[in-house]
This record gives sequence, structure tokens and C-alpha cells, in this order.
Amino acid sequence: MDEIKKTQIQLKNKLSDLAKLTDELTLFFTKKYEFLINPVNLILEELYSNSINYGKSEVVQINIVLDVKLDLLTIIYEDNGIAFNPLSAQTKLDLSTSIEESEIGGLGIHLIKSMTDTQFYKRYNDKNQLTLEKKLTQKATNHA
Amino acid sequence: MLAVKKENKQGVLIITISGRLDGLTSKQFLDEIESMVSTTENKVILNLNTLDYISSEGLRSVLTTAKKIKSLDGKFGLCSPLSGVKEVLEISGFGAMLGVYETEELAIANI
Repeated sequence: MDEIKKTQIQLKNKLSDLAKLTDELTLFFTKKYEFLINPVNLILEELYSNSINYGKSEVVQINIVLDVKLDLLTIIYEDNGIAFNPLSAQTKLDLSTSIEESEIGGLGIHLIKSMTDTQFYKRYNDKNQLTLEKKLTQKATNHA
Repeated sequence: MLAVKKENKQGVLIITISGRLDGLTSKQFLDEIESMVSTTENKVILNLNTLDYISSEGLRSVLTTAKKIKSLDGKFGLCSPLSGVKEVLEISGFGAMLGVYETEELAIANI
């Protein structure tokens, strides 16, 4: 039976909390899960930047749950911003035009979709909740 | 969090960045690059062999740098990314767009 790991991270509305995020991920993903630190950091940085820049709430509250179970990583990301489904953002990057023109929600979401296997959005209790799943395959392990 | 250093090799400006290029450090990166790249420098290579992490904010700052150098009729390329950064360059399409060389020597010879 594989190890089961779970943690919860809370962030506020300062970009400097990105350093806290990296610290928390480094503490959580140890040993054979170490290869997940950077990919998960990238995914969460994109979502966090979105929440801060576009969420329009006075006090940004972010709640993140990470769960590793039977070779499946589940990331649940919640914010209290205005209703926004990031998965509906245009994600087909047209590289023949300028990438700079594809705003956040373009490049960031493209990366998130490429680095996870399933993505699900729901709005409830005035919160945005995004659930992402990533299969922890041998191939992923090789990226360590 | 991020260190930037430069050296000249065979008439090419090599800029090596170490650490993390993300939402926290991309402004520092752009500021330091600004002071390193002058109008007389026309070949610039960004060596990534000690860069541990890049996010989309970091990618944007690399793109800004590439565009600035190209607007001065210069040449720009990337070399030696570690596997994680390499993957992000591939997924984002930035690698194909900006040019990534396996080694610094190859970059200097082909840029």
C-alpha cells in the first residue's frame, strides 16, 4: 500500500507569499515525491497570480489542499474572488502570433492543463474551486 | 533567490541565471539584464544550467529580453536548461520560438 499524504496551505494577498508556498511544498513533497515540488509550484503560482491580479476581492483568501494517494496527486485550489472559471479561458496558444498577447489565463492555464490529467471547476459558497488531478506515472518520476 | 552574472566568450555575451525565475524575481531579472545588455552587444546567450525553476511570469521576462535584443538587431538564444525548465520551455512553445541549444559551446557556434 502506498503512502498517503495530505496537507493544507493557506495564502493571503501578497505575492511574497510565493516564498511561503515554495517552503510548504518542499516540506510536503519529500523523498520519492520530490520531483513534484517544481511542477506543483508552477501550477499553484499561476493560479495564485490569477487570484491576486483578477480576483477583485479586498482580502484574498486562498486555500489549497494537496493529497497523494495510490499514485494520484489531487490539488484542490479555492479562492474567494469573483466567479471565474479559468478552464474556460482561451488556452490554445497560437505560436504564430505573439505569446505576450495571450494574457494570464492563456499561458498559465495552458501550462496547468498540460501538466495535469484532469481539471474540474465549480463555484460554491462564493468561492471558486478548482480540482486538478495528476497521475504519478513512471514517466513523471523520470523528470526528477 | 535569483543570481545573474555575465561574461564574454568569443564576442558573445553569456548571461547565466541561477535559482528561481518567477513572479518574485522576474523584475529583478529585467532590471539586471537592462544594465548588462548594451546597444553594442549583438549576440546574447542565456545559460540556464543553474536555473532550478521558471514560471510563466519568468517566461514572459525572458521573452521581453529576447524581443529587446532582437529590436536592436541582435541575436538571442538559450542553452543548457535542466530537465524541469526544459519541459516548461517545450510545453509553452517558448523553446521552439527562442531557440534552445544543448550546450553553451553549441550556442556560441550557432547563434
